[in-house]
Amino acid sequence: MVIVLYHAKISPPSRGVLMTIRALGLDCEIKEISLFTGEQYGDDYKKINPRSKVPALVDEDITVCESRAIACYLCNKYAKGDKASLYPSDANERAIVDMQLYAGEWAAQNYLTYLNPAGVFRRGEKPKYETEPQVKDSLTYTENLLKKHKFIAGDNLTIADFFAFTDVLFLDLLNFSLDEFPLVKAWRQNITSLSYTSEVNDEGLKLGKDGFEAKLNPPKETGF
Amino acid sequence: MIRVHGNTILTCVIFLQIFEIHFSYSIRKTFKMVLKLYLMPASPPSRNALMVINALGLEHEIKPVNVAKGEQKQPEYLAVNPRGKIPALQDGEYTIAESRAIACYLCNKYEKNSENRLYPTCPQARGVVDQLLYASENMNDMVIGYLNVGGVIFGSAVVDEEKVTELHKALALANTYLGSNNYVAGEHLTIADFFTASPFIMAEELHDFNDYTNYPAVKAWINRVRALPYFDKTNNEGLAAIAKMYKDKLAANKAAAK
Repeated sequence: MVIVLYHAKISPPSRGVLMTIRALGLDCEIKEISLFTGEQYGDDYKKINPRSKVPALVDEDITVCESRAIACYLCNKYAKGDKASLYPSDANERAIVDMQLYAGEWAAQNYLTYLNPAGVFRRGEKPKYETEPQVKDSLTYTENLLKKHKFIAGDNLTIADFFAFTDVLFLDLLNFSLDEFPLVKAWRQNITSLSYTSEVNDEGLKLGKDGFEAKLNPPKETGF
Repeated sequence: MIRVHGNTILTCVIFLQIFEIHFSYSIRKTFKMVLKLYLMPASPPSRNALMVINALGLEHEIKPVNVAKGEQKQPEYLAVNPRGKIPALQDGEYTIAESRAIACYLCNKYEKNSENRLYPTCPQARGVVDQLLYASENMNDMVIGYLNVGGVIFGSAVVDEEKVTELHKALALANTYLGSNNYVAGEHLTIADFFTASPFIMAEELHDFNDYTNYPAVKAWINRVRALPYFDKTNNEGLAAIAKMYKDKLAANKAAAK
């Protein structure tokens, strides 16, 4: 039985899990859940995740929810050999990854508050541009991490990079400039060059960007 | 020519060996790397990290951080945790922040049990705990959002009782996660219980919440957590402090609003 990922391609944490799956070289069946139609709130999906959040992973008789927990589970179960460094087993090294996975949720929240995708797509709202200082706080934190190491949690690529990457990438919905954050920019480029990054992220990001463009800059009607 | 009796030599050697053992023990004890936990006793994440330390019976030193005086923003603390957040753990030359990451680290490094672990090693069981660690942050937000702890203590807010529905949503989730088990991640206690129970315990202490009519299993589980032998010493002082702060300020805010 193959792993099943309940996935929404627009969702950064969902794409973070898929990057982990690709990095581990695992076979996976993707079941797309439509966030736009609210499919995650239906009774069927609630049985998989009572919190109605995407992603969720079913691996034979176990279901794991919460994107970062899914990534940790997949590494604990399947990461062998040179893949083991994605989530190191040494307690001290693992602690740094765990710390950045949890701290990364603060950054993700700042970016989401600023972008306001639920408000823009569902309620005709604008992004919360006034929260740009909090976005810059999170980017500064990430920039400072990268002053010490090549990657988010040390000198090796880890699952912490996947989630930090998909979160920063989401800022592309508003073409947020990273010019003030050269190390973040370079790191982002580094992750982009991984063989699976485009396949996992491009379509979902385009969906988000096109959606934002349509909502925020709708074509003006011309009349005579 | 110096003659030394054989037995005297033996006695001296034994004495020196005993001295060396005692001396090196003293040196090790003096310079022993004791865990240091920087915390704010009133704060749930701080107390949850301390629960793990006490559950594992680890020697430690508490370093209180005076948030009222802004100590968490001072260079001395920022050197420990650049995000200026509490708690933080120092273990020798390593510093770890984020309460849940601290909890996982302590178990990964120091937990000796092979069965009924606070943080299981088997991937499936660990996956159940990890997802609860993440989900509990959101559940905590729901409950703390209803209580509006920050708004009450640092501002003029009162509790919007209509938002109790958020607390009930969190209770419903806890109930689902518990299922028919005694603990939230299965049949034995794990670190997930500390983080998942703590918002409800805050609601009980700060706002005298006690409406578990629809969730008797959740109530029983919370009581199980409260009954742990190290619960009181970890939590009572901090909980009492924040409860008093909250209740006094809430009353003042209500009076001012009239």
